[in-house]
Amino acid sequence: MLLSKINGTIMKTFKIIFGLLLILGFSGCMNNDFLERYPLGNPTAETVFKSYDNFKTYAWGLYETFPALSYGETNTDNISYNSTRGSGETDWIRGIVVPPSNTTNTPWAQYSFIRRVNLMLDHIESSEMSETEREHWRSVGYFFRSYRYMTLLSAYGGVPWVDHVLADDETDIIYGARESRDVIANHILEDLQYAEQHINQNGDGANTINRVVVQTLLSRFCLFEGTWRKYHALQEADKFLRECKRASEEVLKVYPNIHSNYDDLFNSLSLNGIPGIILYKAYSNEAGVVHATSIGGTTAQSFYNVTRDMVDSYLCSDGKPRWNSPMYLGDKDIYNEFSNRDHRLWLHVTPPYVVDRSESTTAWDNKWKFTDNPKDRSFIDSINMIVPAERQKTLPFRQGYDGGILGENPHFDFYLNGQPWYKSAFGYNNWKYFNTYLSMGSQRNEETDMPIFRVEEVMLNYAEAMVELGEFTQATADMTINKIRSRTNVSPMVVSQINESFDPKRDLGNSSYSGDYAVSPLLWEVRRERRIELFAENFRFDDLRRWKKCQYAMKKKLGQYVRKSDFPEGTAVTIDGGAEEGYLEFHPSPDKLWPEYYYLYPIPLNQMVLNPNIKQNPGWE
Amino acid sequence: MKKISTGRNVISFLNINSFRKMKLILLLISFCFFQLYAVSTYAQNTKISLELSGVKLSEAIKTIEEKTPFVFFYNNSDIDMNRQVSLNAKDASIKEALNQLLSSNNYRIENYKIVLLADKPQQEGKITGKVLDETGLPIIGANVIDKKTNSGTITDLDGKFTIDAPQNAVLTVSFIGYISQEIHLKGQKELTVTLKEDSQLIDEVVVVGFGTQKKVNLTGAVASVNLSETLGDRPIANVTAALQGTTPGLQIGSETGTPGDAMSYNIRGTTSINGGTPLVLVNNVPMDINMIDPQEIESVSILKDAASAAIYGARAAFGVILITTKQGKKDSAPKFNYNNNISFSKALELPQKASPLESVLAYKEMGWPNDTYVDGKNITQWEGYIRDYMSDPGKYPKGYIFDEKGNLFLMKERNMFDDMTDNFGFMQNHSMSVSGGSEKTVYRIGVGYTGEDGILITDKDSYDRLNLSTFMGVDVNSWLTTQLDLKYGNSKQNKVEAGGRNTVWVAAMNLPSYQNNEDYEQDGITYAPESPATYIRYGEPRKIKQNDLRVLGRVILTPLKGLRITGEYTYNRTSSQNKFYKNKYQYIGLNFTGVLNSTENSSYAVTSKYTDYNAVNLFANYDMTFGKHDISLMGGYNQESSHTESQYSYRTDVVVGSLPSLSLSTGTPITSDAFEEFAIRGLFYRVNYSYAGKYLFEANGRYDGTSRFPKNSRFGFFPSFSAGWRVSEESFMQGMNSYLSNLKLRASWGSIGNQVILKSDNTPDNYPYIPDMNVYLSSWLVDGQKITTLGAPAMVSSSFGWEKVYTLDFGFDLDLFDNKLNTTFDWYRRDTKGMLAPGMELPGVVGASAAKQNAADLKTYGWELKINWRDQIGQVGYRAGFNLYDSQSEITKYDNEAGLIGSNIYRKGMKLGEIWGYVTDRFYTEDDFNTDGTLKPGIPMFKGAGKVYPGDILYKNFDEDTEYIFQGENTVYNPGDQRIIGNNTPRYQYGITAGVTYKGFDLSIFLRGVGKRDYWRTDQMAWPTGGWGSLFKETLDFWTPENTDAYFPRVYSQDQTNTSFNRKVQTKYLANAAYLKIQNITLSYTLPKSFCQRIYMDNIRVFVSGENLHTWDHLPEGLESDMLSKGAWEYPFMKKYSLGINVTF
Repeated sequence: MLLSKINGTIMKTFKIIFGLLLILGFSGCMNNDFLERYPLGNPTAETVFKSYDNFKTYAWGLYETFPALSYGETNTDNISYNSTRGSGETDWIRGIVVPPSNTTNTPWAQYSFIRRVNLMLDHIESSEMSETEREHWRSVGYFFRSYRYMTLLSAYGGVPWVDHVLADDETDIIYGARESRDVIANHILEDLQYAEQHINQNGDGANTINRVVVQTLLSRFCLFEGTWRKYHALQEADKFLRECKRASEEVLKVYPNIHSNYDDLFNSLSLNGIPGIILYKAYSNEAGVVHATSIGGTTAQSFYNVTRDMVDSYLCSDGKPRWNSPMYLGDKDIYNEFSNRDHRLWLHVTPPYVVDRSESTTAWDNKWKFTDNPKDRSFIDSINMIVPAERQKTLPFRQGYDGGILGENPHFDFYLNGQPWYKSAFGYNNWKYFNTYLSMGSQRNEETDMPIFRVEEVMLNYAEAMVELGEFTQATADMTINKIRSRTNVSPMVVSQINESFDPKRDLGNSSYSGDYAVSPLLWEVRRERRIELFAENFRFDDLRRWKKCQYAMKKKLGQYVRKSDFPEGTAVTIDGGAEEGYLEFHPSPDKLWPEYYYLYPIPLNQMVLNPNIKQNPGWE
Repeated sequence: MKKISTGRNVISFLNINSFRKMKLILLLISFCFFQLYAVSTYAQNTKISLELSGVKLSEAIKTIEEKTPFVFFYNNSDIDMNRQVSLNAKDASIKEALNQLLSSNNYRIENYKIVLLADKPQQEGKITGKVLDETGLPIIGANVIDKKTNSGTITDLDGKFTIDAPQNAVLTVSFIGYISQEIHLKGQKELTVTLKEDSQLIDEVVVVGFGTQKKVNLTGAVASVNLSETLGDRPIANVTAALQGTTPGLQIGSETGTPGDAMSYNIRGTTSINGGTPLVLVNNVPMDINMIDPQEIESVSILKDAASAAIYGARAAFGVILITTKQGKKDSAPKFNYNNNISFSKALELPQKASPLESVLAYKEMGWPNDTYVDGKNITQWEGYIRDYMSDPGKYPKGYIFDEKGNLFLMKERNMFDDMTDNFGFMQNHSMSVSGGSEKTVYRIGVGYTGEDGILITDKDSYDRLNLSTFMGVDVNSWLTTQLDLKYGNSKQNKVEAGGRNTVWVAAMNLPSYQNNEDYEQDGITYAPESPATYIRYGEPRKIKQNDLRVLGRVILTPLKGLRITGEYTYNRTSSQNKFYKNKYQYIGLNFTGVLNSTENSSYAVTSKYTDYNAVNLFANYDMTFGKHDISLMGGYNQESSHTESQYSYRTDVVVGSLPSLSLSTGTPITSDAFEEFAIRGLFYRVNYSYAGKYLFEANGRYDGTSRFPKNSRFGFFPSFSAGWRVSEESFMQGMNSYLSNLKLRASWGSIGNQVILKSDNTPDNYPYIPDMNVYLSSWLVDGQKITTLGAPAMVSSSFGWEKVYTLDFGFDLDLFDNKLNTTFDWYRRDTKGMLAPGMELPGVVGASAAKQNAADLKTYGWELKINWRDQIGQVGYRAGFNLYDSQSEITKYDNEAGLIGSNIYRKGMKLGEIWGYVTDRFYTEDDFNTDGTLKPGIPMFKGAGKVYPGDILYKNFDEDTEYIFQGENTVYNPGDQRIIGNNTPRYQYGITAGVTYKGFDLSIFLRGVGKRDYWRTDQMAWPTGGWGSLFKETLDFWTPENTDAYFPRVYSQDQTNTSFNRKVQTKYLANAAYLKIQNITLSYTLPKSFCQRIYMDNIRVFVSGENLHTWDHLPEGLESDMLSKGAWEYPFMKKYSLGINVTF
């Protein structure tokens, strides 16, 4: 106190004296150009946004927001995330999600990307571009902003709407309340529609945001919002579903065909020119942009297993579910289980085989030969048949580098038999992104490109919207699902055959959840096709959420059918129900229901502390 | 075991070679100077030719002084200097000439000095004597003067003198550094005078901003370091290390022992949450002090309070370290000095890994499912193999075995640390200088070399530095002096950096003790193992070269008595090159899992950078005295500007590995450049007033501008005031004179501005008010290439300006018992006002951190104590010193009304360094659970844990929610069950020095330490590792059903969730980071003068020294408190043993 008083008095006195000195003329010559120093390297917002090319340069950074593909879907019925026996799965399934303390790694953090887009949008008017050029960049900005508002909307429902770079005195927005879901959804819809109309039809060259890309996002968004509204008892579902139909049709006009080989979509060095690829993320070892998806799914301590439920969902070659197809050979033997099935099963789950490794002297040797049993090599041959050798999804399985031949698959974590890697708790390993392109070495510098938007998704969006609108016909099936099935060894869908008894395991509603609904046979089949085609592309959790069917994820996750006697005495084999033979079990069954309020995410705690007008989503308080 | 050490041998050889070259150069230089010296020695025999007629005696003397090296001494009152004399000398000796000139022959020649004796000699006689120091050694060159006539002589090499003086004369015997003595002759003809060393150093002069001050007159908190004493004979490469622990309030630290890495320094704790380091000035201008040879340094002053630092304004907020380098001395023969120091180093301590058996038994206890380790091995089988191996190693010559299924079992205990380190590291320092001067010139030339090869194998961890400096000063005439100071430094640092999959350091720590470290043959080819030693041996180091060239020109005008005007211009060019060739080599993977490449694509990256620094100082000092009033005025102008440019180039796929270059690489080149500029400018003044040497006042101020702020808030004015009262000089204190030598009370108050805002990479932000956009290469590929794009700028407030730092300081200096005991104490409080801080944390919708505004205040308070004792018992001298200091900082204003807690989040009332965490209660026990595994009522569980088990950690519950342990809202108002459990600010830091001298021997010891500090450890030894990674001796004691009294909680082989809840920041595992370190012990021996002179040397000293010898702390072996902030183990600190010699001739 005293000190600051002294500070004050002394400072005042001296300021007066110095003020006088300054008046005497010092200030002019002291505060001159010598002290004017500006950044010589980095531009400022005022200098950078002038020409079309300036905007283009800035916008490349926005493309970085597209996520890298990764093994995910752990919150769903597709995948069991296996790390610790006996403890359970993800926090969502275990029902122990805790509201995060801050925005780090939460969807709420997307606002910084939205600011980045808004910075570009804010500078369009003052630029030196023509009106057409302005419209194009406004469209690109709207596309990216919508892409991220979709993330926010999906997670939280209504959120604050920010459409320009906020200055710190705009307190009405900064400390404002959340907008309603309607407001955000309509902003996204309008912005995307504007972009569809005003973007350069061909974008900025190959593999850039163009009209079709915008329409694809419209298709994805409108299906999400339309079905969300339908199943969460909100208004205007139809409006969005119709828009999904319209936008999807536009896309399908431009991309009527799909590529002949499914595996190529995820295991190609370049996706450039592959039919049906609308936008992709390019990787290059030389450029130093790489991923680690190929064997990333099976690290030594955690592994992503495909569930029995997922495996059961693949149709047999005759287009019928395994439950009633005469071609189904049973699940007691995995070779049988894999026979006569949708080929995507083989490309998603590593098929079974055995090879003779007796010439290998160490666990890591790569010398092998076929056994005398033709069954042991049957899927090795099959895979090599459906995936041309140059595409490198070959069996026997080997680690990314030359060597490490896995003697047999399935290869269980409880019976490693001397080979520690590529182990599985269920016998079903996800190998959708696996390839042995090049020698990837220990660095996992994988450089296969990854699709961001592909037409198959639009086809499935379209099919689903059409079912929801009640307009799905055989023609719809032929221009969507049947095109997709053409490369999967599954007979085409015949709409007329799909009736109440088509799949005996169809979801007829779950009475534990109030207001749950039975899925119609046609919708069930369209959803099945979506689940299989888009497996491991991170759609499933959002799909379950919008369908309000997260209870699927609470089903007990099981694996392959085994017998204890298949393994040496004393091997700890955990079989469902403690039986001597049956389906493998890893996590105990969750003893909880999916809580209703889990359909929306919790808002980070500090946001409500910083702005009391932000209210937590119900149930998370 | 075979050790490949050719690399190392090569380099030692090179070092020796370059050392030899250097010696040769030194010898040549010495030779040249020796010639000069020789010439002047024989000057006495020089013949003189001179013709003078009818001039005054004074003029004649002046002429002779000009033409010869002789200087005349005489007393005006005794000699008639106006009498007319004539001289006609041709090739005459000086004696012949003088005999002509001075009829009375009343003179004596002593070396260069000609002493004129009184014209009318009184009754006098020859008096002979000897001057000795307290240890009985002769003092050479002491002045012996007849007080009345002012005629005198100096002692010879044996300390002897002869003087003609009356029998009742009063002789003054004096020598620099000793207390002068007056001897009243009472007819003695022979004298023995013992001079006492002047320990009071009351006239000690301290360098302050733009001038010097007598220490007794200081009113601010200024510490001066006697560098020659603290540096002494220690094996250290730079001056920063020498200052560590010497001065209370000056904190110096390093996180690793990497040779050549710079150390961090701080004065009086945190000044600003925006960071900042003290301003280091070498001869008034900033410089990288690591580029100076410590032997170059004359004095170091540390300006700790605002009052003393304010003169440097803009950049002095964090205190100032003033370094003045050595010059020559006028009128002195060339002095040669050669120092060397050869030292051998070893890691002070290394982590202790668990043995293979201990590791495997631990895995067993961790309860791996199916008794199978992460890599598929059966653990019991493994244990069996290890026991078998231990009982008969001969059975498994390789130390590992593949069983019939091809499973690998590793059994032999290996030591990665031994593999990667040499028997010892090596360091050598050499420095050589020559200095001297004539009546009008001074010069000094110095050459220094430091070479260090660290403890790792090969020379890939090394540091070399060469320094050259030249100082030349000329008195052009009686009012103009010019000086030129050139400094050049050149350093080369090699740093081990990359590994294969891991860095060298991570691999060294994380590979368990059973991991293979020997070569392995596969398909007929021998591959190196995947180990840190392989990374070092085959990988390339990062190579950093630095050049520092600095030119200082100075002009000093003395137009009037007492007025001195100085103009200085300094140009400093620093350039650096940072090259990293990431080469491709192969090794066999861990567990022999195939041949791996260290990298898929070799690459070469070069960063070149230079900085041009220009500084101009113009200042004037004026001193005047009237009556008992002493007034000094100083005023001046300073401007500095810096321009930095750097270029980065990178290319993959290097073609010729032995000669990596950008041109000879085939990958796509990536290049970028960067520019930085700043300028500052200021006017400053200082006024000193003292009355009768008792009442001292000082006022400082600076009007300062910086380019780092917008034009309208660019300038600030920062005044300061201080006062001192030398109580001991008061007449009422005279009675205490017998033991009170000096008592001075001091008080100061001042303000300083801070303009340094650090960016996240800890470099100053030169454009903090300009929202610039970062240009970078996008990870989105266009046509297969990364593409240039721009990031969004941060939020910027255009109105911010200076942070202001106000310091209030009270202190006293107390010297007792004839100055044997010196005490200095300071208490201070520093208020940092208007710190640039995010105005307040903004809601996330803004999408950016809040713009920085001058919105936060900080208070730091602390105290410093320094006590020295120095005395003599007979021939044994001894000394002891102790310094202790402490400070704490507290936020006094911050826009965080919500009271959020978190890293880099501040709030009012928060003490900096505070650690929030949970209070550990105990482990869960079986009794806490129901039979179905759920917890009994009243026993809380961590929210989100799902399920807990016995051996997990139970935290204390504090809030109302007794079911869960949770962070609440993570605010100070609702912290849930969190509490402040510690503080990581180092408290009570101290240094202890002690020394004993006897005859020529000197033994000194230096300890330093930290009294109190908490730290939340994140290093590899903090917790037992479940899966990959190594266990350590310290991490074996974890909970198991059989060992419920363990130190660590239950270890989960795989579960991340429970592990993370068990390892929350908590009281039980909060480390005590206090320590005490034996920094140095040196024993030196100065050879007797008599011996030195026989071999034509002035001084020879030899020494042995031990540096960084031991640390007492509370941490696992291999870890030191100073390393903790790194978060992981790295290059260990080294202990060094050195020997060397110091020669002056």
